Amino acid sequence: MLSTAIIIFREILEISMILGVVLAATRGLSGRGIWIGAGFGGGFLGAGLVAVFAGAISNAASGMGQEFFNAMILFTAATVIGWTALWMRTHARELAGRLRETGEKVTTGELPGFSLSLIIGLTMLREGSEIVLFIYSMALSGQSAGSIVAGSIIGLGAGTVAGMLLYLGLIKMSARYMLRVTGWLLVLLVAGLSSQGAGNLVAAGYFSGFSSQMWNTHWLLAQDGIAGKALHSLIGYSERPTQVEVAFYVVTLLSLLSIMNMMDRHQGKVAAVAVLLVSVCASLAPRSAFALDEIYSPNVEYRELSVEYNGSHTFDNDPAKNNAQEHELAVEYGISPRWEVEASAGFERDPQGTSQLNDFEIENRFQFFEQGEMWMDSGMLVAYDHAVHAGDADTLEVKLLLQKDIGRYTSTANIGFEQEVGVNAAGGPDYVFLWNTRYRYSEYFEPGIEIQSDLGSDNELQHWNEQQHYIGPAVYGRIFGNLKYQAGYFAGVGEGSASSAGRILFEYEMHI
Amino acid sequence: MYRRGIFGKGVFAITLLAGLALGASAQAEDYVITIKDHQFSPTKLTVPAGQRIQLVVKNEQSTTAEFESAELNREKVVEAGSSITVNLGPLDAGDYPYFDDFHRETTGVITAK
Repeated sequence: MLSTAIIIFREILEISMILGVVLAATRGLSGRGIWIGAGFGGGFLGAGLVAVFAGAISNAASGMGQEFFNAMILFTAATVIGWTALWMRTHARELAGRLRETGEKVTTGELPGFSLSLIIGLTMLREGSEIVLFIYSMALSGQSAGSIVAGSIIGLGAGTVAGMLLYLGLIKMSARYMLRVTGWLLVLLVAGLSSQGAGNLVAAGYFSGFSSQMWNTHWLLAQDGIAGKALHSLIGYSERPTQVEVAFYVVTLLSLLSIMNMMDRHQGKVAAVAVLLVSVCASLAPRSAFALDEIYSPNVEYRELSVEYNGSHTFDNDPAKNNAQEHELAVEYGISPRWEVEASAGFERDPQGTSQLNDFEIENRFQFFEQGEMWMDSGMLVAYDHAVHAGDADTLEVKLLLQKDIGRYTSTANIGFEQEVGVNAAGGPDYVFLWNTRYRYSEYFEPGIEIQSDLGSDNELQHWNEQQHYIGPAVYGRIFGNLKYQAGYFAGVGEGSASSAGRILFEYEMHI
Repeated sequence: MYRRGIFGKGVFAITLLAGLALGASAQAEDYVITIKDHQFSPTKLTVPAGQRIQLVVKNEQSTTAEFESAELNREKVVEAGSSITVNLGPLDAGDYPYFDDFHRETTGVITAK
């Protein structure tokens, strides 16, 4: 209950600070209530969508094992909350400045009212999603619904009161100080979440060499006593931790502290921390459809909102491989200088001829370093794809994103795997490898070569002719100002591929 | 709660797929471009070719700007009143035009020789 109260308190505090800045910056703007309200409403609706996604995942959980699913949720919550806590340390002021600037521009009429809604909505989406994820984690850790609700009410109440007092100027406490203090508690919470995630993996059978109990402090502080329960929910205290749980706790704690130390010394120079997502499932797999994909850069386009259409098409004399199409409509936004989110809907037409809405996907891209700072730019993509049809499986996708500029040549590689999850899941991870090299001739025209390979899973990994490989020329660039395009035509290599395929992408981008 | 320096040697959780090539940050030259009144200054900047370069872009306007160039493969937002660092190079000799994506008429050129 205590940890729920603290997280909700902090999120509400952040939300009320944002509201305060926006209200101050839009004084005199008529109708601002509508724009601001729309932003808040939209953001929370979006967070509701995250809850629906989490619900869908939870329905799929019985297929993969409850403990494994719990572990994934706990690790995701730890990563999301940890990353935001770190980010807020240095960027809270910048965020406030950006909100103020948008508010002022809307008041002077330089920007349309809905930009205010959009920027508030996206910030609320982030806060709301964190709350949703955290509450799910608490439910999974065995906290009763009653204690979660009680904690939420306490946090909500305290956060609202504190936010109002700050806004009215009635208390002089620095908001930054409050954020710092709750930030420390969050660090312990995140380490606790990570260690509980490990505990779930142990229960699911992983780490069998390292699951012996390290110590038993029951005599010192019983876990089922009042203090023990409070400490468990606050920092993940466990009287009988296994070696793995201790290791995860310590590693997470040290990582976060090291990053904060580095952040304090070198503002903005933050090293990458990625959480391992392990998925192993060993049985024969029916092949999941492979479509030509966009090759992602590890670099995030901060504050850029884009709407994108992405389509691919195969060509072959064999009707079983001909005319497989995939069309995707997506919206993406760079939430922070290192994090971009994309939501999309996919439509598929298989060689048999049926076309339909196939899936919804949420994709996160994380940039590890400043572009050009290291010898190679790197980042990571983590995506969850929810299949619409009852018989199809959801997919989790993880890719390493790499990019290197040499003179006017830019080469990008995406290397990773896709793993079916949930009730209809079958087979091991499906490995993919995508590469392109392009020559940056001008902003309108960048010719290049692309390779896209689906190396398959399990048995297919050893058989070239069951894999799909495509290679061919592609061109990238920009037309009509803000419209970016990519187009490629590929030859299929090997019997598993169609004889040729093409893909085309259009992206319209805006800055907000 | 922690002492500076000790946790600088902390342990990091590592990504599943290896591939990060960590180069040492080279000693890089510092060049400054200022954005004011929708103009880049200097509009033409000459830098040595074949070297890593650190460019500081300062925005002295009251509106946000973005340093963008397809030729340089960089797209980075500079908030009003603040500055960013852009890592460039090594660049082949030639001209690399850039612009402010928030105000496209504002353009400049970086020449490497």
